[in-house]
Amino acid sequence: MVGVNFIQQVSRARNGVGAFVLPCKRITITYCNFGGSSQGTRDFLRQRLPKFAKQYPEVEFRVLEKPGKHPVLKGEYTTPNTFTSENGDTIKQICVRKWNIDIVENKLKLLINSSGKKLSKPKHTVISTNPSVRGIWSPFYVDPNHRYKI
Amino acid sequence: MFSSRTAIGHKSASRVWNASTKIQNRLISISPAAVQKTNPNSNSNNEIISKKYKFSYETAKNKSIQNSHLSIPNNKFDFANYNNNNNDDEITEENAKLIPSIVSLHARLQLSPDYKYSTLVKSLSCPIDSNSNFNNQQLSIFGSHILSFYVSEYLLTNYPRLPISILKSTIDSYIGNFSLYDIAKNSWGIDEDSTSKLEKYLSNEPELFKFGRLRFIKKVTKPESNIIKYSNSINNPFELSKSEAFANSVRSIIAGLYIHSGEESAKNFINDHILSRQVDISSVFDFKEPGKLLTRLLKTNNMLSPTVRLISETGRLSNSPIYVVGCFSGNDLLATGEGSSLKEARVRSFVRALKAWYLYKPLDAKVPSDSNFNGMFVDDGEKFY
Repeated sequence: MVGVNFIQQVSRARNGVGAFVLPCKRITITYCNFGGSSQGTRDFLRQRLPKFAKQYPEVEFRVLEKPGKHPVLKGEYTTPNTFTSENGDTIKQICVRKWNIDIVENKLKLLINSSGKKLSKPKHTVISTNPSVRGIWSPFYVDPNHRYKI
Repeated sequence: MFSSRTAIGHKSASRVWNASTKIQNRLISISPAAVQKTNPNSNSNNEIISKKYKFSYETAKNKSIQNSHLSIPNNKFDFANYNNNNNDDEITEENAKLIPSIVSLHARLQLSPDYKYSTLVKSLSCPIDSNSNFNNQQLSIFGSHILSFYVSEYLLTNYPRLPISILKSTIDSYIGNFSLYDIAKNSWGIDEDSTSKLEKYLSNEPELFKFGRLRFIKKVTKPESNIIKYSNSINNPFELSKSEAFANSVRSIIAGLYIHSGEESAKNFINDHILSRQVDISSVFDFKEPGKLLTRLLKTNNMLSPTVRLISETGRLSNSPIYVVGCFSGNDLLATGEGSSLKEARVRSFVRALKAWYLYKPLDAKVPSDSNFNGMFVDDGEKFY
């Protein structure tokens, strides 16, 4: 229309408004096949992994043998722009050296429930992309009798 | 402190109304789903613009499938049952279930059990050569039609007064390539197959796993340094930009949902994943001369032309004055605007009055695909061009 131009936008994600998609897409468990530090991780892989993976069908589990290395749990996330690996995916890693089977499981749950974002102290009580319901404060809201006279 | 209501003179429209050429050169690509075959003979700029100016219904003509290979159902409106007969190299359902990224994507999107895993594999395979039919080209065309239908009906019923350029731009911000790329990459977590054949061989990965990622031929826009490009004419018609390839995968997944689970679930899926995203329509508007436009708008609605009156002010003699003015038509207050000069406040009030008109939103609007839709006025706002 004449006189009206437009500024092109890209829609912004609001995960959880409408559909919720779990940000964690892949978990990679690396372990050593003989080292003592991997004992708890090996126990987890033998005893609990099949049942555990079935609880989270949204997440792809990968198991990688790295002899001579400490066990590491790595989560890959869809959330952009935080910690990144070589191919640009957001990752979070937890070393589970010497931890027992229960702690390994809890750390995995922690990775799955994480959004992939870097942990930080929230500076504002409410963080929103929506404009304020109250609008912008104006000095004219003050009663004229109480205003400062210039 | 407060002056009585003073009328600020509103300039009458004296300049000639120029049709801005920018609007005609819009680059909107609602669904560049089909392969764009470029003609090497035509290099003029207009040619390129007209090619990019594509809407979903235009791509439908560009079908690359022969009628003899197509089995058409008796009811031609039964869109889900059109079949391509020579799908010889298709991935079977059993094989598709073995690919972990496909299975997890299926679960992550909460697709119904009717949704075949092999369709998901197909959605992630963009056309690579002319020999193979196992690609998402047809699916993505179908998906872009579904998407543009549901998104435009939502916008038309919820914002019936949007000018056509704003409407198209808003549709594009919901289902354009970049938005769908963001959905595919940053919320659904679709991976791109960027590893070379050597890397695949070295990583000991099963051959089947390559189908779990988005496969496409990447368009090279910038040649590497120290490489001189001699020929312009050699263009691979299957080249896709990254955003286009990701967007086509989203379109295909939605088409697959329509095919396997029906219209209703496709509609709900679009509502949940696409229309739930945030687009600030009021900031799409870019008015060139809001005063003139408002005058014309009021005239076509048989209202008095706008008068701007000062409502309140503070600090006129200081270095940071604030004025609040109101834009009136007769005795009706259309909008108020504040600013640090009278001119700024005046323009702001015009823009707000225009936006208040164009962004009219009926309460509890029903879309035409709802069962209890009763009909409505659409495009009531655009009475002049």
